[in-house]
Amino acid sequence: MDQLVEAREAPERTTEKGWEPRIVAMVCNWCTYAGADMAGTARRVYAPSVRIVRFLCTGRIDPLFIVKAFEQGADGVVVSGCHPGDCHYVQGNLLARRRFTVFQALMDFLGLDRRRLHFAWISASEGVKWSRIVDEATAAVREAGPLRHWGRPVKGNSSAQPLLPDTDAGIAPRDPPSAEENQLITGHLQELVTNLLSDGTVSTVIGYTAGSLPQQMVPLFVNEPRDASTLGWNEHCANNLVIYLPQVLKKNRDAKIGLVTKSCDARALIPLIREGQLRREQIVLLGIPCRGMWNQGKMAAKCYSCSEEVSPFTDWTITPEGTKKGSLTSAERRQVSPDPRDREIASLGSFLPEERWDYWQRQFDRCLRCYACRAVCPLCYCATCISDKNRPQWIPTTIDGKGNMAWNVVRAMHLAGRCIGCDECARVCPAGIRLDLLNRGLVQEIERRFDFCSHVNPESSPPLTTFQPDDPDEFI
Amino acid sequence: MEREGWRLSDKEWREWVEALLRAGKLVIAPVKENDLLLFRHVLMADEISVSDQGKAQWSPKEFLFPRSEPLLIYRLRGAEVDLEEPKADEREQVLVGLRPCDAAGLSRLDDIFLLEEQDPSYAQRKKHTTIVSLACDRAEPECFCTAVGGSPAGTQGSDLLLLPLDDGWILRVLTPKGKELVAGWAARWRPALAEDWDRTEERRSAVENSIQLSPLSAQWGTALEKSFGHPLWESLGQRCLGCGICAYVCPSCSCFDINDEGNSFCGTRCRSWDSCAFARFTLHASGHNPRPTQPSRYRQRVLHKFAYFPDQHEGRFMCVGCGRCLRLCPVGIDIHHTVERAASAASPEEERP
Amino acid sequence: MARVGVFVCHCGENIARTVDVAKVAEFARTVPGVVLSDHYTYFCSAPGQKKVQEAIQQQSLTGVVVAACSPHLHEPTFRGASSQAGLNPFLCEMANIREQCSWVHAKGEAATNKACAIVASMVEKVKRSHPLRPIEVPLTKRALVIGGGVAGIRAALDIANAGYPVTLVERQPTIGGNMARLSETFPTLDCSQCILTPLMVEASRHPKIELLTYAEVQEVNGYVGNFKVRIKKKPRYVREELCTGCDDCVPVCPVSLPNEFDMNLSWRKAIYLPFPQAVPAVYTLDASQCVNSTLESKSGYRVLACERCSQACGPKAIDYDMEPEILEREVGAVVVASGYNLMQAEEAREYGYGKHPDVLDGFEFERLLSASGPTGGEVRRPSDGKVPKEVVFIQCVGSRDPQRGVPYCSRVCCMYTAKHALLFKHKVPDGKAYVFYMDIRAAGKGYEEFVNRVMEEERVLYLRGRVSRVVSEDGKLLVYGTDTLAGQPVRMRADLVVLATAMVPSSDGELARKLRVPTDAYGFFQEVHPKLRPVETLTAGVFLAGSAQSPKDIPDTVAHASAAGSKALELFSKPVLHREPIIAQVNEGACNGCFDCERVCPYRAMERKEIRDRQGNLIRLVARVNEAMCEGCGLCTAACRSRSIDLFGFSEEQIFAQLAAVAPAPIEAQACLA
Repeated sequence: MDQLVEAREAPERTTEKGWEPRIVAMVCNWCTYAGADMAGTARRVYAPSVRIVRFLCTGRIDPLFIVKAFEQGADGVVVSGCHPGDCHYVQGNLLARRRFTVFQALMDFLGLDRRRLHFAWISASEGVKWSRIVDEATAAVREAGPLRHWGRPVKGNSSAQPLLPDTDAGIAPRDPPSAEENQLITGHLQELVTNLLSDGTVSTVIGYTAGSLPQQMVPLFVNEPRDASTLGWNEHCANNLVIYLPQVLKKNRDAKIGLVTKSCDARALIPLIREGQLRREQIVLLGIPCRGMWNQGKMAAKCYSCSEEVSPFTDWTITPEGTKKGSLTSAERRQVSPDPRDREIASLGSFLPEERWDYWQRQFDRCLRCYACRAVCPLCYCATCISDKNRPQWIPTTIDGKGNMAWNVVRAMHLAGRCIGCDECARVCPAGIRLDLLNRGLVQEIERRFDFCSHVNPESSPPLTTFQPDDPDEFI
Repeated sequence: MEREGWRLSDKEWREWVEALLRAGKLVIAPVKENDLLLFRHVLMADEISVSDQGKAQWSPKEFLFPRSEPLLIYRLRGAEVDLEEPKADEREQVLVGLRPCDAAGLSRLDDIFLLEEQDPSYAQRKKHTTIVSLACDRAEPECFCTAVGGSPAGTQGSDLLLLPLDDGWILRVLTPKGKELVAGWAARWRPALAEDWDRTEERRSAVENSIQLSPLSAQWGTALEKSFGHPLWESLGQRCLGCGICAYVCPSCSCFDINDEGNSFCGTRCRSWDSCAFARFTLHASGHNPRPTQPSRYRQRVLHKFAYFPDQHEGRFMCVGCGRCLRLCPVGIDIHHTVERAASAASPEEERP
Repeated sequence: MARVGVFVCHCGENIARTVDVAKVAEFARTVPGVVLSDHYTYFCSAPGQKKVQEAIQQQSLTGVVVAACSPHLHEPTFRGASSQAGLNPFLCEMANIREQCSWVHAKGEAATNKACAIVASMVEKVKRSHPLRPIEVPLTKRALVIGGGVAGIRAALDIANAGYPVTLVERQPTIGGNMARLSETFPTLDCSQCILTPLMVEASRHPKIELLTYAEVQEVNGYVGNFKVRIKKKPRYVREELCTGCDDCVPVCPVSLPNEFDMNLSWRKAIYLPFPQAVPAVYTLDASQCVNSTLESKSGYRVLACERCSQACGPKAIDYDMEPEILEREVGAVVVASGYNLMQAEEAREYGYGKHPDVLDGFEFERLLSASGPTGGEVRRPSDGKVPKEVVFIQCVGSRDPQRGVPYCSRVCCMYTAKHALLFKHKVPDGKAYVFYMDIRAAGKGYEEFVNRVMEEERVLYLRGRVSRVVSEDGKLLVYGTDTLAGQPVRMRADLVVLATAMVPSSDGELARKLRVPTDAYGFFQEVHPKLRPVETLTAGVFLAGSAQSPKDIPDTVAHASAAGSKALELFSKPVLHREPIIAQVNEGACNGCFDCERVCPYRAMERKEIRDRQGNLIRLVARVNEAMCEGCGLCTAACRSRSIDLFGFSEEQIFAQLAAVAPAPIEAQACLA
């Protein structure tokens, strides 16, 4: 792949001699571009390292343009627009501020050197500030050196890398259910599904059945009452079946579908309803009190801190004792313990940025671009994924460092403020990429900064489509 | 070269690998990384993980058919276009520790890239590659090599084969290329004894017997072709999500896409892996898609491997029974099971294979 | 295949001095798609433009890049020239190698390299440009004027006199605004009300003007040429059509209140006319202060404790049951003339404002000077009614003070302070007036002469310096300050202190939000360009008049208002509207219908379109851009995950191509530079 890299980079990059920082500035037309013009009018001399790309508004700057700039060979990026409250398009920069907040958090999480990415508010009259920011950014990028490691580790040697804590040490707060419980539930479930299909309440039920491998449960579509007997339930029903809804509903907009769900899966319905992808009345939720998903004797990490036995949206609750309409209203809060991944995230936070960068680059290096993460994600419902868009080509088609970096950053950004933490992406990734850490990191960041939780209220505005005038922007 | 081999200790074969490294050869072998067994370039023989009995997470095909590779380099200047061939890698590489199914998978790639029109970059790499495989002493639940003509100690596609014994290994030489790789070492090693060979045979049959799945034969291909229009495919492929895991971890899948990547002045034309499970795989520029649904795409995958390919390649399946697609499929789709169901459904009862 | 021409301008010496223009032109020819490049002293000159036009025609160019100054300056020039030569104007782009290159970098290779990179990026952009045509929009030829001060009145009259109907909305019971409060105006010393009231009356009687006082704009929907406005008319409890303005209701009213119009220096009743010349001459019952207001019953049954005004009213104009009224109007243009307020600066408290009754702000002193004011035009101090002998005027209270006030200059304080001092001296000839100032800013016709007259003829003492505090002592005020010219601290006694407090916008941002018009950091409405487009806003069809945009004196306000009026008339002069085609467009096939675009659009330009099958069954909803409302900001494009929205003129392909051209700057590799 080295040849590929060489061909893509300008020839002068291959020689060390006379390296000058190359910085791409993405600025809005009304404030910063005019501010840069003002610097010119005032003949403020500054470093010739910056190349401006003009936008009408910072709100039009997709953070992925920044990824693109780095990918194309920029050593640093400056993004600048009007001061808050000063936007020519009323709110463009305030929306942009939120997007950049999340992007900056993601870049920090991935360990990008902070000296390479600069945000500033510069008005049309602040020519002096513009020249100062350019000089500062140039000095910072010069100090950081040429960016040769976009899409690859800084250090070659992997043994020098700090390790994440061993989370196997976590003690599961619950035991898996007994075989008898599972059998009882399976019996009740089969009976309920038979009834629902027979009386026409639903036309299809999506549930689980035994797969070919030991302990493997796989999705099953049941259309006929007689097939209900193949349904099953145990602690290996890992799949989030919500992913099938758009596909089934696309075929028949008025279909009514029964869905066997765990509480974590059902959360996905909230953002889907919010984003107009389905209507609540199209779904009959068959909730099973879940004690956690288990694989090879280990409880899934997401289950540790899960306090919800059954989703509150459940239409039918199936317990070993029988079937009842509505959700379970258990007064007792059940036993939970801290999510073991929080220790890993904290530990990642304690790494040096360079170490974090290398950690993630090694992870992304394994990415095969099979897009299984996208396929199993209930929120990846786009008819045409950005990765399939080729005018322009948003994600390089090449399965290499840059392409993999772009894909994983894009996916993280697109899930920011939407991910409900079902962890299916991490579970199915053949390359074992810790997408759960990535998503959870951003979920926590958004909860902390914008007080938003994707799976709570379908009426609330997604955090990246709204703003507060006083949103934090200490990074700008 | 029947039964030509040496009785080696673990240390002995690792010393040999160490020597290969010192001789400047690239050695690629299974390495443990974050709980995954992956084929990686190794710097020391000790990194190689063979004690773990499983197979690597995905096949080593990327070392002959990379995930992405440049086909040509272009430079633009005004109205002129300069084209340049990418430099070929001339270094010798040794792939160590492939399970027999993976080695067999590489021979399927030979069928595709070398048999008729030779693919220059694949041919170049293959010329410089020697394959040292590793016989299995246990079958995993997903394994079904025996059902598609393979064996836990199969030799297809390998130049050398390491056969496990209780207290060491037999290194069996299979090809002249393999022999060349041990040149200078064979003299130092003890030739394997008849009883050692017998013990490896016992192991092989024990592992083979532990694989329960029924063998598939070339007849199935004919039956499968007939199943093309069968409504059963709708339900067989219904849960398929259209990810590329099966194709990308498969030792024998070889589909690719070609794209230009670059800036305003220069760039490369790249060939990258592709998967028939992706909706865009067959999407026409007009917007028409001849395989419009996921079941139709899944059917293509199965028929290609078990009907069309054998038809053109003397009955060989484009499946080596590694079972990775089943193990890693997010929704547990079982290709062996699919072939059985589809073939039976399409045949009259008395003709069922 | 693209055929791009690149024209590198020397700008005299401005570019050529630091950037090697010949090299840039030579480099440009190596950029794929460029068929011609040229360099010339001034491409913006007539022969320069002709060169570009000839090249377009002779070389059949599909794109033009002019490497010269900022697009903010000459983009219209070259787009116009291209258009005349038969090339769609949107296929012409500017590469800014002057303001952002030659003027800010030292002569040398680095500056030339940067110029090359800028040119390359614009070539890459223009190669992916599409010819665009202006969008046609129908329009309603009626204007809404928000604010009935002098700016609003002037704009309304100008539009109405041209024959177009106008709705003039004022939230106070009378029009007139702040100007009605003023005594006399600088520098001519015309009586403010004498020159204003004829205009007020003219506006109220104009057949084309619908005057809505005591009313507020509640909601503005729609877009240029087609706004739909909801106006809430507050109940004044007096029927406008019946009230004769006889004043019989006032004497009987038992409630006395401070009169806001007189800056609370006089009293009014709960039913009142703000001032005698108010227009309309209709009384207003201040419902919040009326005795009856406290008797509001929860059952909705009205209990009346006092009906004196109603009983006194001959024409029976009092109607206690009046409800707020919502009026809907369709208009094509909106003029915002919401005016200003005086700031309550933090400094003002140190100067005793609010603590000592004899520390006044500008408006309060205006009322004391006004013949219609609480003292009938005699200067008497509020505390004891005595005529002050020594008055200290303090300028720049809040203005030009980023720490405690606002950083900008309020522009009128120097002049009105001079006027105050002069009027004081006229009224109290033996009085002494002192002015603390930072600078005297007297730019205006006759202004400098006026200030000089105040200093020299009226013997007003100007002290350059700031006041640190004002304290009261024995009924007198003590002013502590510094005379920076003398370099000495000053302490002086004063009977009265007048503060020239800063002008701030009167609207709190609520109106800006309703109109979707941006404001600057201080809340003044933002114009498109401070020099070249000072009355237009970024929301097409919304124009600014007067100090809603920035602090202004009366002549500037009136000029600005007439300009806003003429902008509205310019709009109305066309049968249909043409809009810039820089707008977003949705790829309906790829749209998922999540409507995040709708959530982020500041202009409500995103609509929901139903996709139905042949049987008419609804299949899905997709987003659709209302071309007339889209302002081209592109917020929707960045919010769209599936990238189903793109922005004409700043498309994703163009941006990608630019990024690919600027970042790996392949210049050094090219033959012309190697």
